[in-house]
Amino acid sequence: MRNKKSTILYSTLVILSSILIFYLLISRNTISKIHFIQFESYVAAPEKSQYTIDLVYFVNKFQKDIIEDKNIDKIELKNAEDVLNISNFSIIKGENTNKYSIKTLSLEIDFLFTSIKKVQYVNIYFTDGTKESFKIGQWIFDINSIPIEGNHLSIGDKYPFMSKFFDGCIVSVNNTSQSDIFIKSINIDLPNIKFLDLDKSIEIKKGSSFNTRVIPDGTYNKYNFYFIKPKIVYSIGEVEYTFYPYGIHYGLLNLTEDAIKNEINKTK
Amino acid sequence: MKKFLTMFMVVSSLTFGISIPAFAADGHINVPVASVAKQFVSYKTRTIGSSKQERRFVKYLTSSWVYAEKYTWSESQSSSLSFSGSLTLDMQKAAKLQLGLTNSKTYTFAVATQIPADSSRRSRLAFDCEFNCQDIEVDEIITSKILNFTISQKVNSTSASTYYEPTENSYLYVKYN
Repeated sequence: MRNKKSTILYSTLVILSSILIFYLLISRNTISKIHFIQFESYVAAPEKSQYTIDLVYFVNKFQKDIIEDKNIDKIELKNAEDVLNISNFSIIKGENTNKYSIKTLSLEIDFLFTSIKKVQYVNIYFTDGTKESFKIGQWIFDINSIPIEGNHLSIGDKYPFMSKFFDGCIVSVNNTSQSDIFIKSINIDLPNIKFLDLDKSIEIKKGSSFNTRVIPDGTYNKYNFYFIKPKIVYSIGEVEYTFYPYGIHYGLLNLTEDAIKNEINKTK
Repeated sequence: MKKFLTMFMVVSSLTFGISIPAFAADGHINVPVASVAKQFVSYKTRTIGSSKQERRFVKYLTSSWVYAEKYTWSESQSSSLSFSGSLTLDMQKAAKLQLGLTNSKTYTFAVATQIPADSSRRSRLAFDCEFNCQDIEVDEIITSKILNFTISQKVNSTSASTYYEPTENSYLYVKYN
C-alpha cells in the first residue's frame, strides 16, 4: 500500500516537472512584444554633428527578445531618414523587474542637414528581410546651420544628465570666455508643452556661471518621460552664437514597477 | 493649584524626607532632580518659518578626477535624513517621530545609459538630491512623578537646527574640477 502511494506521488511529481519544463521551453521561444518608452522629446543640434540617443524599452524576461545585434541589419527613424543617419547602434542591458527586462537601444545619430523633423517611430530592419516599426513617443529634431565657432560656454556643475521627474528644464553653464556674454534665448520646443521666453537678455560676466530652471507654461504631467537637449543662443558684442548642451533624461531615475506597467499599457 | 502643590511638597518633605521645590519666576516648578521618585526626559519639536526645497550634493559615484568621454552607471543609491546644528541623537529621534520625517530614500538606476562628459576637463560622476529643508527648535522637558502627581518642567536649553529630508527627486550629473 505504501509502495503504491509512493509510486503515485513520484509519478505526479515527474508529470508536473515535465509540464513546467515544457512551459519554460515554449516561453523562451515565444517572441516578446517590445514596449518602447513613449518619450516627449526635443533635440537641438548643429548640422554635420553627431549625438547618441537612448531609446529605452521593456521585454518580457521569460520570452525571446528579437532586438539583438546579430539580428539587425539597419535602423532608421521613420520620416527622417534623409536628415538623421544612424551610423551605429548598441543594445545595453539594464536591470530586471519581476516580469520585464529593461534594455536600451542606443543610436549614434548623424545630423546631416538643417531641418526640423517630427519622429514617432523607429524602423528596425532584420537580417531575415523583415521590418518592424515601434512607436517611441513624439520626438522633435531641430537641426540648425553650423554655428559660428564659439567655445565660450561650457556645461555648468548643476547641469543634470538624468532626473527623477520633470519640473522645468535645469540649465547650468559657465562663461569660459574673456568677455561678458548675453544669453538671448533658451530654446525648448517639446511637442505638447510650451515654455516661457526669457523676458530679457541675461548677462553672464566672464568667469561666472549661470543656473536657471526653464519653467513650462501651462499644465503637464511631471511623471511622463521627457528628453530635452536645448539650444542656447547668446551674443558677445554684436556677434551671435549658439551653444548645444547635452540632453537631459527625465523619468528614468527610480523606475518603478507601476511606471513600467503604465508605460507598457500605452503600446499594448 | 500652586498652593496645593506647595502643601503637597511640604507634606512629602516631612513624610518622605525629600527637599521642598521652589516656584520659579516663569511659573515652572523647579524640582531638585535627585530628590524625586521618578523622572523622564522628553522633547518637543517646533518648526520655525516655512519649509523650502533645496538641491544638495549627496556623493560622488566615481572615485577620482579623470578626463572621461562618458560614464555608465547602474547601481542603486540612497540618501538619508540629516540635521545641522547640535541636536543630540535623542533629540533627532524625537524630531523625526514628531514631524513624521522620512529616514532615507533609495534611488534605483535600472536603465543603462551612457552619460556624456567633456573629455577636455577632469570630471567625476556625482549624485544630488532635492531635500525638504526646515528650521526647527527642540525643547527639552523633564517630567517628574511624585506619588500620583506629575510635574513637567521645560529645561532652559532649546536647541536650534535645520533638517534635510530627502525627497523623491534626484539628479545624476557630471561634476567638473
